[in-house]
Amino acid sequence: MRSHEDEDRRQFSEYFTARREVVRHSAYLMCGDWHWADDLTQAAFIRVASAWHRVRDPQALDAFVRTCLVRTYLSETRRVWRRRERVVAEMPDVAGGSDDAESVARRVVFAQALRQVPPRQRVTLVCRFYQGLDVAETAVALGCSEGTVKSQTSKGLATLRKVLGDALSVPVLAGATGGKE
Amino acid sequence: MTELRDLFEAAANSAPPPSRLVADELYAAGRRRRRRQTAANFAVAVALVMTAGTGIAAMVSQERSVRGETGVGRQSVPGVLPHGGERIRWAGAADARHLYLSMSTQPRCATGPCVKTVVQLVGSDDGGRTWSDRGGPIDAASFEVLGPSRLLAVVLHGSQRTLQTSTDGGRTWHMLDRVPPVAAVPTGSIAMCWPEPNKAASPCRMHALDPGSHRIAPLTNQPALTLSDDVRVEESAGRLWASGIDPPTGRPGVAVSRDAGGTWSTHVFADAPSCARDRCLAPYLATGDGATGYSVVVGAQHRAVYRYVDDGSQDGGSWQRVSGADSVPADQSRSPQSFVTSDGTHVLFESVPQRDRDLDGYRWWAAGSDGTYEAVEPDGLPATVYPIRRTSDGWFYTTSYDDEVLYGSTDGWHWSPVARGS
Repeated sequence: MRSHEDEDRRQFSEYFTARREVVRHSAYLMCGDWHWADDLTQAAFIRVASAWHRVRDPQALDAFVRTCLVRTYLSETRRVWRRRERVVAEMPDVAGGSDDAESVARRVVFAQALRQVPPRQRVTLVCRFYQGLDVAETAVALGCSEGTVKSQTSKGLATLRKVLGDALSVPVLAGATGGKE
Repeated sequence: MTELRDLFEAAANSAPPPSRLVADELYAAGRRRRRRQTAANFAVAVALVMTAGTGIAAMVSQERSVRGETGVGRQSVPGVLPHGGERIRWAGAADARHLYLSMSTQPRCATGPCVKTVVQLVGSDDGGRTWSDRGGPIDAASFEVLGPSRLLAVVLHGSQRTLQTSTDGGRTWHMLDRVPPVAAVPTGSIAMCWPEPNKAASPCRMHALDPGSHRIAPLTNQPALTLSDDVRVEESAGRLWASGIDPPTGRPGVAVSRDAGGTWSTHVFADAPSCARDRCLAPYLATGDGATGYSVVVGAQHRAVYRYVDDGSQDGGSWQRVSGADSVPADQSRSPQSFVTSDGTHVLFESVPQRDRDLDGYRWWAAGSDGTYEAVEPDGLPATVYPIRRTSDGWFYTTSYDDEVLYGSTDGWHWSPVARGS
């Protein structure tokens, strides 16, 4: 007979397999580095594993791992300003896919623009426009008020608009600070 | 019109590399985290009860400072290590607060054959006051401390060796990605020596390791020496120091780089003592705060000490033989160890048998201002210790192989126990 511990491990493994890439991609959008994204994903899932006996509802799990990811990243960025070592001579990045030149260029430009958005605003944008969260859900993930989410969204979009110019059209931004509330 | 979500989707799907994360490992790490939290909560509860019981008297009683923890606080006794009775296999430190030890996990080693390389890594973030397991038992040939929470391990897989780094104080480990050569060691990366892939038996080559991104790249320009097997490369005063053997002559030499490994200035010690029959040994390097370095070359019968002085020349400096070291007795163990104290004094090791005990210990010889060496007794340092190491911020540490105690010092002259095994 399968033990309780084995059953927990199996369930965690299934959840991890199903959600790993989603979490990892969100982490990458936040930090802009796949290796760092792996570390953030790891930290988030370790916290989930440590609390596995308490959280079982899949909806609650998604929110929990999202909160862990966001707060781990923001915590690390605060340390980054003081302690994280900066590599000056950049190592070669991972090769891109087989997309056409235009889409690759658009992706690179957007990624560069995203990196110019301050971390907290960037996390807000990722939660709102990549993960599709509403203002209230984003506020829970960031541990702040809904008003802060709106202002962070507005400022983040302003930065993106400034960098991207016409590449990001006005209709996309219109009412973005409100979102689905 | 470009939808914002499409842009995010495209950016997130830009050819991600395969993930190294494994469900079982994360689950195990999560379980360990939960156990630690439970233990910490229990300890806090116990501490609260004890504090209430013992009152303020316990807080104002006479306490003895543990050297090496300046600014960390005071405690009455050195920290006690977990895994009581086990042997300390290795000690490393990033500074006086962040300490690491690998402990034997095989008690039967004392009575029979065992895998001595399987160890339990333990760490302290409070200068040795408290210790915790970092991950589970690991089969590792060696460790290096790269920063307060950054470690490097040479992990064994049968006869294969792989490099792995940890950025969370040894709790989890990452394999390294090899990337194309770089001209110099980038800021934030670390110089290290490692063989080329699939050439495990070949001499190591100088590499740049970025512990944050888990990438390792060979340097374009390599020192003109067959480098020693030490993984970590000595670094001080903006210089990299690499010891090895000059391939054409077979003589010991040292290569120094002042530009992070971009170029190397190599000096071969032609007048070094004749080597042992089999081969010459690579010099033992010791550096302090400044640009002065010492190289100890041990031959078949004698040792020689060379001092590197920055003379402002194009090469940056030159090596001069320290004749006063010739008077230090050459022991049969051919001990090459030495270290440089905080005041710049060079201290040599001499192996000597311990009276009434079936083991060897060391006697120390310190260089005077006139270049001669005299026997000295660093305060509180037992004779039975492994080579003394120095962190980049100038804290000294070593462990005793006799009684399993970690010792620390802020100047190399005055030593105190930091943690003991039982």
